[in-house]
Amino acid sequence: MSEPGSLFSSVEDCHIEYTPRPWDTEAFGCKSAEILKVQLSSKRECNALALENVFKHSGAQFLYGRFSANDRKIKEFLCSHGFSIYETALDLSLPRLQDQSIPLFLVKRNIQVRIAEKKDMAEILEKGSQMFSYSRFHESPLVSVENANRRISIWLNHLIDTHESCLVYSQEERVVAFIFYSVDGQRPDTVRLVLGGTLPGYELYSPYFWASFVQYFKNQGVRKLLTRISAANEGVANLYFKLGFQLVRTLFDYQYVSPVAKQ
Amino acid sequence: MTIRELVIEVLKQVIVERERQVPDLLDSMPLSETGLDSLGFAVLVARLEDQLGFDPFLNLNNPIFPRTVGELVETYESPREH
Repeated sequence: MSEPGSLFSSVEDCHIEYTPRPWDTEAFGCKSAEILKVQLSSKRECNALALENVFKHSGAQFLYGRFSANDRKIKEFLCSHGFSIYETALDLSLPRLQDQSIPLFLVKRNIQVRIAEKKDMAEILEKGSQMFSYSRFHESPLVSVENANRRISIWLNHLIDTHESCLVYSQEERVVAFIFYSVDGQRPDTVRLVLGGTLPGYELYSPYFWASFVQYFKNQGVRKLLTRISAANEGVANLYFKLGFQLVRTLFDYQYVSPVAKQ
Repeated sequence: MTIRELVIEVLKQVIVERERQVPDLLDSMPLSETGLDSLGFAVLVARLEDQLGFDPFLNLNNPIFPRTVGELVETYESPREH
């Protein structure tokens, strides 16, 4: 299935699906686009021309895309055209949540989480962009930390504007941890954890907050949780595995900046 | 062994188990700089509960969040009423 609004560059049997990324263009100050799918031809010249057409038609100076770490052909194709791998992402799944026991030492703390209110959103927006060190852009030497934070800020704005659901843990009326999530339209018992953060200074307590978030979903009858994390975020990876999540997919993030944009 | 010595000893154990170098654990050192990750911290608290018989973070109306090694030790030396 294609992403709404996505575009195609096709040369014979090579098809590249891509989409402009206005947020990233705004955050990074150069025209950005994401490659979503690649179907390679056996003819190298077709593949090269299809990629060239993506650059030409999108006008993108910054192009990137996430693909399976096991896809050797895409790796060879993108790396031979100047792309480099700057981040590894892990897709995690916690199936059969109703049958899972969340480790007692993480949930016995009586941490009460709740649905975020309007006043929480303003606080999340104010502090949220400073909470992240891991993302495909935070980990990329092609993107400054300031621009990566700006991109998070735009994302948070979008999540709030679109009324994405959010859970928070607050202490003394201050948001200490939050998690935005979406419910799968086709399968309402499946929840995707989209973006979560913990207030600086409280990171060591994330397991208690996250276990409480998971417990909340379990109490709500959710059957499956999905999320994506950076493999470099070892602490969070260990935490999710401890909570019962399983690794279902490993993805490499490929990025390319045109020489014009580097200047 | 005093409570302080036990807390420091278990903290060192958990840091080593997570394949990190143990730094000089000065009281002023932020816990986040000790090599302890967030899950390691939860393991530390659970292990200290096994040894000391109490968890100073449990069931508090207002949860406490020590940020430094010294504050962590103090939390165990002078636990608040539950």
